[in-house]
Amino acid sequence: MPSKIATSKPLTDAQARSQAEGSARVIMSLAGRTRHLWEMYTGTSAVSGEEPATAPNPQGLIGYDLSGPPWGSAPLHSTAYQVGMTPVASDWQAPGNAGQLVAGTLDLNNPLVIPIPYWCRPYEVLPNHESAYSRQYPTLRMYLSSATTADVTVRCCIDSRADPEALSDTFTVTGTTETTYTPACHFRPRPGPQMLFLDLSSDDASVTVTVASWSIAHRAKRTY
Amino acid sequence: MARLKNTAFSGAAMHEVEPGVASLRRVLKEAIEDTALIYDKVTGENSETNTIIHDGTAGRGCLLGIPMASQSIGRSLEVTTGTTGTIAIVPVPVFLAAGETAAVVEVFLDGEVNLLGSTGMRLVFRDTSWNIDADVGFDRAAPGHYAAAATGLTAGLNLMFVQYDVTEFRGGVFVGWRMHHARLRSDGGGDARRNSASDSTPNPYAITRTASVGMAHTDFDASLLADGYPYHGYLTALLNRNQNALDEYGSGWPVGGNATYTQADNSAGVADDVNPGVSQFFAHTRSYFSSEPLVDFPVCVVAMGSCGSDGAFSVNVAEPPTTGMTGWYAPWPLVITPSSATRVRFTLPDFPTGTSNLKAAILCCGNVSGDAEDWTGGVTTTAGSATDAFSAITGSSDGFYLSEPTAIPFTADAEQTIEITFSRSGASKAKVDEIALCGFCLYFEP
Repeated sequence: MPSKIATSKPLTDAQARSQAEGSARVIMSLAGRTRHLWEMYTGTSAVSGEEPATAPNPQGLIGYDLSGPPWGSAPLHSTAYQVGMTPVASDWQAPGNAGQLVAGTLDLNNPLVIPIPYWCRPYEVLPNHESAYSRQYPTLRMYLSSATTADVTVRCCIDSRADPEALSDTFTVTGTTETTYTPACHFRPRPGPQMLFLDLSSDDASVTVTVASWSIAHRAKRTY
Repeated sequence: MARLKNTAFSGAAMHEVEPGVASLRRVLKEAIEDTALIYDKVTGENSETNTIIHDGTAGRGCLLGIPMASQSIGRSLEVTTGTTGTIAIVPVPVFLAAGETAAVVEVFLDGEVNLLGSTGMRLVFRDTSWNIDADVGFDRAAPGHYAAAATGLTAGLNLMFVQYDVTEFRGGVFVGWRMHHARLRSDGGGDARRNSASDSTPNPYAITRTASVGMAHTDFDASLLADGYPYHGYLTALLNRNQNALDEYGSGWPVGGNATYTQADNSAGVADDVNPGVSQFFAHTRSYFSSEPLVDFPVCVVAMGSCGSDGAFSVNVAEPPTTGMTGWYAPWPLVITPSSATRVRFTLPDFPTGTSNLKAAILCCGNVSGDAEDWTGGVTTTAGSATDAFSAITGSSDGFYLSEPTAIPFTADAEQTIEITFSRSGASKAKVDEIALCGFCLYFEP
């Protein structure tokens, strides 16, 4: 049994006001929540040499680790990426097409599948993929080989390209200027290790779609 | 005013709060003082210096465990006949957050690499003085999946190399790699509360007042608990409200598991998900508390190509190269003011932008004549740029060079274009192999 009381149960104004019932619950909450809050914020047992009175966070450690509620507001940041090089072949000596590095190319007959070795920051799993880190949205920098348009379909797959639950979106890529595209679909990674697959296909055999670079990130700090 | 605050956690013993036991003023006083201490550690208010910086030391907050890299490559690692020597396929600078002393690196190859011995694939960590901190072999976790764990590392900027003797590699594709701290709670659920987005019932657990940003808090003077003063609702209700505020501020969830937040978003209706300047939650933004503790935060580690483990090029010095690892080599500038080396969209967190703590480390290899130090590396974002001249890494036999731009302007809580830039003094390059971009990292370090 812990030597110092700990509880996460709050009180309402009515329970804590003057002339309210002098219930032990009042002093238990006021005294016990200090230990709970201390351990959550400091990540340390409040009593030296004693096991913490709080549950472990998604990392298996103690305290708020800003991985999304109830462990704190999650900072927004990119979590996976493929970086290309600026497409000015006369400026850089690099492997790849015309001396530049790109993530890949696709057309109607040659879809592009990009494996992503992924470690999802551990988070508390909530229903309906509500956790901040459980929805990772791709952002792609793309351009075409000629001044036209092409419809590109993106599928966000986990573990296999045949993922039956993969979300997808189709959008139009326009012109030869590298442009940012943010498809309305996302990966739903589980905490920890997995392989994601960014699956792209095109509807046009006459034009090559170049994916210069891409990254993925969550867009909510707390819950969706 | 003699503000009530403890210098260390006190708490209350179980027997002091059990039913039937008198509620002592001393117990209430300790609760007030503990709560004030927590508030100061979280916000940096009242000149508190022992704040929550998430470095894993006692009382300073849990390690955040931000993964450092997850990069897809998709390049061939084939080497032409006759290529010899040790090649680093991932030569990068790496920032380890304060308190982190270990890391796991996993490499995914379409091909087989000899894992054994000193010439097999190895993970090498060096400090920026070229001293080796770790040199460990990779294990085969699964076909094409190799993992190594390095321990005994030092927080801060490190140099990392995934390398092998090219006679050991039988050819294949570098699929990608990832780097993290491998901490994952064993499945067993938690105490997660449910937050129904469709339930708009007002939260019955009040806070002191609705602040426009940040968190509200009531201080208590010692005179309120002097002998003879009653134990009354002013103390109990406002202490409860202080604790309710800390609960929501830290957890990011409604206090008591209710549907709605008590610490709502900015009263002007602007959510802190889109305006970091009005953060209502513990996020190290300094949007309200000017001394709020700031934290280390790795953003990315990006490998740009291979090089020799001694800093030599992994291809012949020709434009274009025809021998060596011609599918994955560190690219080099052809002109003295090239267009930016990379351009990628990254989302950066809501950390303070007025005094930017965003830093970069750009690692290059080059010839041994020192021409690399005529080059300057830089980072440009949509908010501005920062540069730093390359300098030789002492001990690397002038094979490696580092540029460390600091105070890089950025836009908080937003996706933005980030470019790595190069420029050279003088009229032209002296040699082809002056400098080549091995990799870079971005990180926040207060």
